[in-house]
Amino acid sequence: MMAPLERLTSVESLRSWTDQIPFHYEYTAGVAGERFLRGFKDGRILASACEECGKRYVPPKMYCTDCFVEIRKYEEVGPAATVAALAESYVDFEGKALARPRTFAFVTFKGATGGLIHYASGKGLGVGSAVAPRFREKGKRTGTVLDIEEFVVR
Amino acid sequence: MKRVAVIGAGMTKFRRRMLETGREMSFEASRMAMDSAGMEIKDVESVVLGTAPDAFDGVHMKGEYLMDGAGGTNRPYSRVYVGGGTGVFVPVAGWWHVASGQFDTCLVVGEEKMSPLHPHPQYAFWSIFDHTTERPLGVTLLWIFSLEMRRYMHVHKVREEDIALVSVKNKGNALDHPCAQLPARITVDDVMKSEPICLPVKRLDVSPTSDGAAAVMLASEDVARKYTDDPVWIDGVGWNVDTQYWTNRDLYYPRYVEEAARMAYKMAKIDNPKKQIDFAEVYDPFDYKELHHMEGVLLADKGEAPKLTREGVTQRDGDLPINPSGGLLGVGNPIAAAGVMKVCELYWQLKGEAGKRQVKKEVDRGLAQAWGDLLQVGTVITMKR
Repeated sequence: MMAPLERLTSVESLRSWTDQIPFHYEYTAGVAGERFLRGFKDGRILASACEECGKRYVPPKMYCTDCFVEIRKYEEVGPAATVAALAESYVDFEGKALARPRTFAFVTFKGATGGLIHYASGKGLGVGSAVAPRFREKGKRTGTVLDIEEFVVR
Repeated sequence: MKRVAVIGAGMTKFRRRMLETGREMSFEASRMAMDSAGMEIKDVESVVLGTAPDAFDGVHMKGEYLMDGAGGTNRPYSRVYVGGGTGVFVPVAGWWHVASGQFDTCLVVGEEKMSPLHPHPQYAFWSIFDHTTERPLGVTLLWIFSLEMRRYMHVHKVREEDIALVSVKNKGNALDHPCAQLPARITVDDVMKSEPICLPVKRLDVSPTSDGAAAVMLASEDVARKYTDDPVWIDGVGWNVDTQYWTNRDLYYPRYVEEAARMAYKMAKIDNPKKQIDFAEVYDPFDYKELHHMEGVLLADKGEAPKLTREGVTQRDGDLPINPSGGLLGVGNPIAAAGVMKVCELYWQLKGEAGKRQVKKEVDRGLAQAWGDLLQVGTVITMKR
């Protein structure tokens, strides 16, 4: 019996082939997601607000995870936000160097639970920085998270 | 071992495409089951969720993704998965939670959102086949079903027209189900003349792909009696998996379903299922599968199910109503949710709350069964008033 390391010395000696599983997807944003994304078109960030406990969710949920009741009320939060954490990416998905490093921030909003991960920039950007979203021009918004270009130091 | 009761049930509509995300559908079904039981989230001690391949929703680790919609946050929560058999396996897993004495309540949720997947959910099924011997042929799931249907027809000399009667019955039953996706008044001729997909399987022999969720609330006897004077009991559970090589078993008979049923019958002390089970929700993603599974759960002798169907025994007003809900053929087939829908139907029928779907005869015990994995798992539950 061969030792495990002797079993395979060259992949080319094996019969092998490539194949792919050809999936693509069309997602729905959902009840709360529709409200959230439509808010972007108006330049607003919406939270859903539980009428039982008062908790406000960003991104909005159609139900309160604590009270487990449906949420029908939506309220605007921000635009003022605070950077809770930062990350700087130097490579893309495939490990190729980016033309310039990209900074991602996790930002939170006063009075809301949760927050958003998005691009961020600005002088003195760091944890605790006060930032605000910079939206695309109104006519160019399509109702996605990319309607916010980035969060910028105020 | 503790006795386990079902004390609430709920489900969303089943549709080709729902606006609601999988989480939101899970919430709607869970909330309905809790409302039906008279419970709040603080009363839920554990949660089990069932959902089929991540590839359908297009979200990897779908169990985690769906968790907060199923009330699982900050609770003992788990996802179980045995392919198409998942929908009846989830309440079985829920039963473990309560029967073991570990928890007094368990919320059981089934979810599926198949509509995101393009070009068609068939592609997810295609990739379950062996990449060396089967996938190069461009095999679809329909091929396998067609081979199985033909084998069943050949061994028992069953006519396609008799199989079509199942589709006519179930789509007709679904006319009375408020959540149904494909209720219809059709004839055997309509089925026979429907589009050939992979003969002998034709368009109207097949259930649709769907989005939907369904849930039931389980409780131990002590807790159940605080909420209702009239609980419905889970008195038998069974599951069994045959070899994953579909080439290595005779397709005409689902012996793994029989093993699962025998396990449930032993627990429920059922020695004559034909007499002791009053109605059943057997798994019917295709019309011939209802017949296959009636025989597998021993409610018909081998080859006898088509005859019972032809004689009207399996109609809602017959001696052995089968799929009074309308089944997957009529209500829809969001995989894991479809099986839980069958368990919901047992609950509503046994409580006398099935409305226009209520079977004519007095019912004390019902059976739900699902089937799946690589065409080789059987999951069975029996429930009793």
